[in-house]
Amino acid sequence: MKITSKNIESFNLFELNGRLNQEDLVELEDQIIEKMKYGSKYFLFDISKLSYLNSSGLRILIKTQKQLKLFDGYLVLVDPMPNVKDIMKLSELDDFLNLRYGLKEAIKEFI
Amino acid sequence: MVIIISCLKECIEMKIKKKFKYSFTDDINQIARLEAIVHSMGKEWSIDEKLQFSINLVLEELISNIIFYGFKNKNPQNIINIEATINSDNIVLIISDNAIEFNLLEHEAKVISGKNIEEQEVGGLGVHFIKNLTSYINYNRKSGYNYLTLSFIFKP
Repeated sequence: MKITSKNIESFNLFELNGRLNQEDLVELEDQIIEKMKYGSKYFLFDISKLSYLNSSGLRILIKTQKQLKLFDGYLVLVDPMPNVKDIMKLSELDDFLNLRYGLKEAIKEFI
Repeated sequence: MVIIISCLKECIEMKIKKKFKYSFTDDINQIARLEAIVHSMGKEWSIDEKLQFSINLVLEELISNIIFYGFKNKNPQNIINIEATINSDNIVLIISDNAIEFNLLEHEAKVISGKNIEEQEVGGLGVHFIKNLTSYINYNRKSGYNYLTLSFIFKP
C-alpha cells in the first residue's frame, strides 16, 4: 500500500493506493495521528485506488471520524472502488464516513 | 438415462477440479499469503473479482480472529488449515484449527450505525462480514479442533 498526503484547501488529503493490509494499518494510523497532532481536523481520503480493506481498516476510519468530531472536524471518503463501496454499505458506514463521489464536488460540499 | 449421464458428467467434472489445501501457523504476518492464495483459486476456477474479494475478506477476518484471540499460548503445534473445493453452484471452504472453542454461529453480527456507532463491538464488523458474504455456515468441535464450513454461491 502506498499512502501519500498533501494539503488541499483546508483539507488534509490522503491518497490510498493498493491494498490496505494488516501490515499497513499501523502506518496509516501513525500518519493520521501525526496530522491530528498538528491541528488538522478536516480529512479527505481519496480511495479511488484503494482495492481492498478489512474490518481493522474500517475501524481505523471509524476511530478517526469519532476523534475528529470531538474537535468539530470530520473525514470524507471519496470515490470508492465497487468492492470497497459494497463492504462500506454492508457495514452501514457510508453515511457515518461521508462517502462521496468526485473530489472537486466533495471539497465544494464540505468546505 | 439422461439424468445418469448428466450426473456422471458432473461427477467427472468435479473430480478433475483441483482442491486447494493450505496451512497457517499462529503468525499474523502469514495473512499476507491470502492474496496470492485467493488469486490462484480465482485463476483455477475462473472466479470473478467480486467473489475473490469476498473470499479474501472472509478468510482474513477468520484467520486474524483465530490468531489474535484463539491461541492462548505460543505453541509450534498451533495450526489453521484451509481446504477449498468447488461444485457446480458453490465454493466450499473448511477451516479447521486447534485454537480455543469458538462457535461463530453463537456470535451476533451486530452492526450499529448512525448516532450510536461508538457502541460498535470490537470484532462485530468481522463477524458481520463473514455472516453476510457467505451463503451457508456450519460449525463443529471435534477432538480439540474447531471445524467451520462456509460456502459462497458461485455462478460460473
